[in-house]
Amino acid sequence: MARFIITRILQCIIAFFGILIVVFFLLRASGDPALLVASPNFNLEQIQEIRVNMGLDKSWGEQLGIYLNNIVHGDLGQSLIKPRTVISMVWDALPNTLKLMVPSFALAMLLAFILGILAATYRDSWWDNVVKFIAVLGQALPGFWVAIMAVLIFSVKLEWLPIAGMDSPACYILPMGTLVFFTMPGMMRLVRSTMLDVLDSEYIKLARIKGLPERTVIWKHALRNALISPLTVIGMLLPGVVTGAVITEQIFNWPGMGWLLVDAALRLDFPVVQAGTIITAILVLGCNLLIDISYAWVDPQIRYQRT
Amino acid sequence: MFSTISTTKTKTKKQYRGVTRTARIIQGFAFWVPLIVMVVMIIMALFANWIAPHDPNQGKILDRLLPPSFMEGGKSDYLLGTDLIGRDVLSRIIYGARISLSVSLLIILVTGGIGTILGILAGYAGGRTDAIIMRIVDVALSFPGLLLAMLLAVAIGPGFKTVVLALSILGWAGYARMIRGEAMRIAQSDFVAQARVNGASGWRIMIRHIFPNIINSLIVLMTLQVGMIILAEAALSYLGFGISVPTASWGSMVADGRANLDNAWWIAAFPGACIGLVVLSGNFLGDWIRDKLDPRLRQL
Amino acid sequence: MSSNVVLQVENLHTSFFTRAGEVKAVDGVSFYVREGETFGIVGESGCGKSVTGLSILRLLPEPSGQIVAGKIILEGKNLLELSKKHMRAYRGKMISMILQDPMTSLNPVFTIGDQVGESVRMHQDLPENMVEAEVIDALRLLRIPAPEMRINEYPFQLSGGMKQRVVGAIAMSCRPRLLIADEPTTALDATIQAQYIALFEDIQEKTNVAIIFITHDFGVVARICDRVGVMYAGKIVETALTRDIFKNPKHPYTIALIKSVPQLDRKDDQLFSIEGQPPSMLNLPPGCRFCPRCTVALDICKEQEPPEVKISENRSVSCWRVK
Repeated sequence: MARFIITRILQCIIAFFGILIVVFFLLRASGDPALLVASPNFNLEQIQEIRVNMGLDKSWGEQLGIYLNNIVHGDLGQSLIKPRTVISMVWDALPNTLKLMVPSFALAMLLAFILGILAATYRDSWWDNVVKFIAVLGQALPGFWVAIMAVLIFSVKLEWLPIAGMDSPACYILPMGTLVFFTMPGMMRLVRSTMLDVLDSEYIKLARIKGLPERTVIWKHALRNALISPLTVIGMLLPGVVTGAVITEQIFNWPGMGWLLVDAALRLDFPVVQAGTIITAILVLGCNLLIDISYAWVDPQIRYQRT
Repeated sequence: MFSTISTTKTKTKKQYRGVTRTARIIQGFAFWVPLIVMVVMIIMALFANWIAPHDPNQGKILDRLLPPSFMEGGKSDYLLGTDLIGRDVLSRIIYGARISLSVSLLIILVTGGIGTILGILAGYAGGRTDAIIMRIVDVALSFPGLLLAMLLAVAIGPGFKTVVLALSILGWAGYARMIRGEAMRIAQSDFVAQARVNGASGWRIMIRHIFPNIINSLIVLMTLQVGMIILAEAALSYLGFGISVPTASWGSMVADGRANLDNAWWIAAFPGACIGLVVLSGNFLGDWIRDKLDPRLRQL
Repeated sequence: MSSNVVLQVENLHTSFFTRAGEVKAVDGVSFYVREGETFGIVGESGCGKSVTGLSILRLLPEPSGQIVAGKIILEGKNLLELSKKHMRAYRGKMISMILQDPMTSLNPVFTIGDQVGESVRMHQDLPENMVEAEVIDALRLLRIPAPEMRINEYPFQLSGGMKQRVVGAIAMSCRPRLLIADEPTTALDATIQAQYIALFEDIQEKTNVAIIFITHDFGVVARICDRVGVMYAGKIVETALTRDIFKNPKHPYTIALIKSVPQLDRKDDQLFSIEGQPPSMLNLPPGCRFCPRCTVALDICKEQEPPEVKISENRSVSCWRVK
């Protein structure tokens, strides 16, 4: 188990540096960043000065070194648009994102599991059909559109909920609902099908033969096995969650990381985009790592064997 | 469900009839309706020039923000209303089909191709090759596509190229993983062993033996991807990183409509509904194809 | 072997209601098993023997599987009249079952000790410290070496034969009155099979449990069964003492089956097999079900199903040729 964890952590670190380097080259590849910062009427000398300031006159290798060094020391640079350090902008935005994402994701997963298990246990019943319906719609309808329609119906026409802002709890409803809509259906579908497979297996039959109450059969025997497969997939859902969060924040003008990123990207504020990507990458890698570890805990076969 | 039974009483068949009539009718719908929708979409994409009633990019300012023709205040000229500049929503939707279709087709071909090659390679060769390819697959799968699209948009600007690049660079990974599994399974088969005994080279085996056997899975995957790619492109366009204003992409139309939600909801509503309809149909058809070709892959 | 009858099955009818129609998997089956006795149910795949076993436990896949008629009397009580809760109390304690595939019968995420212990905790009111002793006892009954270590191991750490013994330990942990073994040796190597069967004899001697042994292998039948019922297409066509079945089979199907078993001491040019296929359970022929494949069929066989005729104490046949 320890060996497994260490291997995974190493892999994460390598992946992280890989991403850093990719981001670095990608941004340099677009052209001369100095030109973007400069006003149109700057002459060549002034542009060159900017270049020196930004360190663009050094060789790429040196620039990469400085870049990596800065990041390790937590210096993410200055925004090109606003007179603030990137760190401070991120520091302001991150809590907002977490306030939205964490409860939404938790709720989405909880719902996905409960509904998925119910659907599988009472196969072909009313529950099952409702769940299938939600899953199908959830995977076909564009999330941003559903969110906008929800705003249209609940905020504009019915005026039940506020359109934007972060002040009251009511403000959380639509954004959370949107994010749940993004993440729940896929997981729910998987839980249902995994559970169906598990319920069909021989050891469940044996559990019933033993005379165990149905309750125990489902929640003790079936569930633990059904958790394994979806757990691996949660990791694959994370990019989707990030996407969902970005879109949701943009729709509701929620001042979080996603909104920050989109705004910066559209305005070509390199340092912010760079920082945002890196931080998101860290988060995703970190979550994947946590999930892999918990996966090892749930499935004894992984624990005992080398992976 | 099971109560007391006496020796001579026979259970009536009403207990379990199997599939009800309503279920069968719905199942019939599940094939024809999606098929018709997809056909309509393809026709729209191919013959947009002839079908669309108005120019999607030119609008009459006088006719701006008109509601759909079936609502009060609408003109029969503009079936689904007009947007802020007076452009016909319907025409824009029709031209939008072209964009959605061409983008998804291109991306599916590219990602499917790369993914298949790498997947078969990883599955058949095993060992180091497999490990390396799968590591890259892992990274690609955990990297949020949106982030990459944003980076690309910053680097080379938004547009058709950006969307295709962003979705392709990460999209092949899903294929690779699935195909690798299939390839590994087939590589264990006797006919592959036979080919090796006969002296066939690795490449020959991969092309002649493994590839034909994974085509089914590949087709199923591709059809199921259509919906996802259309959604991804729409999301990117909506945010402004993809095919954006003023081109008539369904995603950018929804973005347009958002600003006018309270006075002209149709600008956002119809394009989005269109996306949903097409993706839904694509998914249904994909499921149907999968049932026909490879019931083993059944998920739901 | 006493003469107390532990299980009496009377005219059991079990059907599956599917989209294509009613499949009469078990169509009027009757037999009994005594204390300390092993009753074998033999037949081809699909003849309904497994379904019979599941019916006794009332564990048919719902909602398609239903027991349509009949009586299943275990030590005086008709199981079909019990409430679901009551029936559940019987499972594991009075009746137990061993399934065919040891690789998938055990839950991969729980230890052996957990899984055997679960049965013990469920059905016996013992203080915790005695539960482990019971578990070790059950494992020893199945001759599992070093049971104290096995308790903490997971199924994937055990071989196929060992897993099947654990399944047996779970089944015997509460000393049931009836054990149903559904093809327990089919998935084991030939060498392990012999050991496993010897184990059954041992257990039966120690605990006096009645065993129903479901199998398609006559070799196993010869080894361990006291009495045999031959099943075909949902019906039992012949019942007899094991030695009588081999020495003097009466039903044409039984005769053909025994003839199909390859003999090492005879030199046959060709292996004998029964022509044709078992009938589709959706579309059963009107008369005797074996008639289409029977080499000695009479006219009446095509039209009417033969009744069960009791020839002697332990002997009955359903065939128009046997009076």
